[in-house]
Amino acid sequence: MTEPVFTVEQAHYRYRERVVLDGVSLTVRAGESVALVGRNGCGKSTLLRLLTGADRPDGGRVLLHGRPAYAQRRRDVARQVAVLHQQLPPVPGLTVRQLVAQGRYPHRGPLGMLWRPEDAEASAALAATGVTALADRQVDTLSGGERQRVRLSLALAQQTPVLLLDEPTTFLDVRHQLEVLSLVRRLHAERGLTVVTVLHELDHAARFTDRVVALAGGRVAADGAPSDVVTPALLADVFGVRGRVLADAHTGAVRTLADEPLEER
Amino acid sequence: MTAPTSAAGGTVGAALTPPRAVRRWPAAVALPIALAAAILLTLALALPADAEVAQVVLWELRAPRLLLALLGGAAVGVAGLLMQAALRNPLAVPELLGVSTGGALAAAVVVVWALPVPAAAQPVVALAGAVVGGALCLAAAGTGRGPGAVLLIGAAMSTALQAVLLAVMAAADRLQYDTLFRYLVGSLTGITWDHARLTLPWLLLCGPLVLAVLPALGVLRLGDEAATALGLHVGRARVAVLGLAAVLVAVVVGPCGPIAWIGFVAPHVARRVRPSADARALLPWAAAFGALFTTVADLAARHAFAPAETPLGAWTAAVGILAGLVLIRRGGVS
Amino acid sequence: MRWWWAVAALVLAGVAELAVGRGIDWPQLDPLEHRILVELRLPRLATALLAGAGLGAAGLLLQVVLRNPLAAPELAGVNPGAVLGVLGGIQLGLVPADSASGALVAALLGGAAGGSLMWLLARDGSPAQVAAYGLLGSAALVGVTTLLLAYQPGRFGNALRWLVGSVDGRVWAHVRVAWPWLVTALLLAWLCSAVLGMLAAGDGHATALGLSPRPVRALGLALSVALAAGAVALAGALAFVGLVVPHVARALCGGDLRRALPAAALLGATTVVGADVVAQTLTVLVQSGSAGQRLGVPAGAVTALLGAAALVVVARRSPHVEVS
Repeated sequence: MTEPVFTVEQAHYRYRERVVLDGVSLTVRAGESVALVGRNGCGKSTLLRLLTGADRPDGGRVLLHGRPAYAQRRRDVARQVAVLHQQLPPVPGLTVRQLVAQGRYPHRGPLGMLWRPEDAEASAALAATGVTALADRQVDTLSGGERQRVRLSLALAQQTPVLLLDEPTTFLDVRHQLEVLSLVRRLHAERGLTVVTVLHELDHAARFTDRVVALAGGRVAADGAPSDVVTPALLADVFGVRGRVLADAHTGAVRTLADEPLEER
Repeated sequence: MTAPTSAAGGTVGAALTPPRAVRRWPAAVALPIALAAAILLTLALALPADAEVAQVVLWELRAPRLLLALLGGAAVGVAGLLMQAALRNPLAVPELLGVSTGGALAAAVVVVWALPVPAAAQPVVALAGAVVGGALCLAAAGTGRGPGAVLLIGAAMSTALQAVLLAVMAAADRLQYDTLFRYLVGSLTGITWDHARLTLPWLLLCGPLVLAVLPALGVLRLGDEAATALGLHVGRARVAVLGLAAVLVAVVVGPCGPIAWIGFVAPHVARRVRPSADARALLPWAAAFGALFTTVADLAARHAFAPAETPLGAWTAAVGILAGLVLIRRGGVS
Repeated sequence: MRWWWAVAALVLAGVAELAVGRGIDWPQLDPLEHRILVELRLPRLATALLAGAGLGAAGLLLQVVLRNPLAAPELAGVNPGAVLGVLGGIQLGLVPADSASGALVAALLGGAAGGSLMWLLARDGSPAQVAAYGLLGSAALVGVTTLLLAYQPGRFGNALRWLVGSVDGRVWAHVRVAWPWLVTALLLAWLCSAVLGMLAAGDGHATALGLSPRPVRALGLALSVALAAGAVALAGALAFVGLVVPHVARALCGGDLRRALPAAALLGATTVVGADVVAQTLTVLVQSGSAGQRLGVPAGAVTALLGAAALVVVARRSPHVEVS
């Protein structure tokens, strides 16, 4: 077994009196590809923020390489972990090349950014997601799919062994969803990246990741390989729907069919 | 006039917002009492002992001054309400229409370059300048723009006018400066029946017009798209309402100079006392509060540092800034 | 290429600034005219350069750091606060009327206070709300200033310098106090520009890249207050320079702060020098004869007209500017 990258022990988190995380325990090891699934507001994104140390838990521990994530220097964390947030606010006037070059900050520091704006790593990151052709376009003029790939190459420019993605397929049409997820899958396979992805679609989780962690009621409701975890029982307990789970011979992954909402208990 | 309207409106409002109804009755009673008290004080405070002199002072000096304070304050309050409703922005103040700056600029040009204009005609010149200033701002904004653009353009234009005014003022000497002070700060000192005669016909003319635009304001409140769907030419309606507000302010600027902040504070206080988004319900309150504040401020201007008179505008500005900060902090300005 | 044009425009404006105005008969200079050139016109040029560069850079920093296209020093409370600080200080006798360093300190304190007040009032608001509060704040400033001046109208001429902005009558003594401050702040701002620019894409973005947004934003705000207040202490609140120049700079050089910041400083300097050339020309045209001791047409009036024209054009082109 490889060494643990993230260790979450009994993490509690409260947001304005509402309990978001109520004792989550989880270990992510180097080289894993993990999907976090669950209903809206179940704490997936919060857990992601705790993993990067952007927030500290109200109780329990969240460790990055054995040390509390929030207590580490931001730049040290950014050299270990790259995050793709759900949304990027508009950045008027910035070109793709300039934005991706900012991903080199954790390695080069404030003054290093002044002298050589672009370097080989940034160019490689552009090439890896196939956006080299867009390099001199303004970020704000790109389509949703293009923008998502640009942001992925921004994260790659950080050259971190760990990649966290917060719903990378939101606002994308089905073609771009598959494009982005396949790209992440390929990077995981080729470079051995550790990937944690918050996903809405169970089918995507089943097909593109090795391990599915389902959150419900602020706790881990299920954790394991997609074929073991994604079951009708999970659909009922975590998502509150009656549904079926079918094997898809073409992709080799399971597929879910949600039939009807269950009565709220 | 305000009491019956508010009583009728009070029952309607009470049905909608029961908890506040309790507090509205005292306001409906207190406002007329406060107004009456302010009027009495203005007329009676520190009258000369000699009966004949007193009568002259009362009739020739205090009556026109009181009349202008009441009507001018009401006009500016109503103008503020019109602007806030037409631009759907609680921060739209008449000062952003370029009206008071235009008036001051016209007066300054005449005084500084010693143009041959008799002193008695100065209010007319200021009035004309005020109308031109407002017209410039509205022409720059045009009829095809959204409320935000209109506000931004108005602010830019009035800032530019202000800069030109200050540049002209730079060439003034001490004596000319004293003459112009009224148009920078606003004051009711030395108001006579001549001034009142200049202002009153315009205000009387504007009264029915204000009532006429009220329905359009109700439609504008729904937002530009909904208003267009109801068949209103939004751009034109907005410019018409703003033009009316500009004339209301200009008429006051002519004889008195800018009575700052009344146009901002009166509608907001009206909205506090009588929570309603409907301009029709707010109108009498805004007018009454405008009149009350101006009269009280003028009382303070005359008597606070007697025998010296402080400029009225300084008092309204001081009160207005405090009120503005309080309103912002309390979330009265959304 | 564009840099060459910008530099050429600045040089041209600078030469014009030295050439126009009364008191010098080109090309033969007698000793008196030589003194006018060295002791009046050169410091005047330096004042315009410094003030313009400071306001332009401060405006750009504010826009980027607050992620608000309408955040300008005059709308974010910095300029009004600085003006009020200087005028209040003079009026209350805390600052000698002609002390350059006193004015600088007063402007810094006032600018920081005004900026903090606006920040407290409007930090949760939309960009347009911040601007609206700013307009209100400027109107409040005029009110307070009239209160201050109500009893001493004789000081109006002096107050005018700061209210509207003018480089008239600034001599080497003023420049000597201001330039180390402004140049240091400009250099610091440029050294931090790469980091400050990362705030433009949002706090989440900055955090993900290993940058704590709060201290960096505080640094950016402090630098912009330092620049704007320094400029105001020197030449007053030149209207619209801090609002319009950064937009032009960004349109020419893109959103990358490392290049946009020097561009904004350069353009700001060019604008103010050019505005003062126009103002001086107007002064010669308007004031003939005895008015020599009075303040000429202030450069701030020219920038206000230019800026208002630019704003009106922009607002008319984009019907969807929303301010509420």
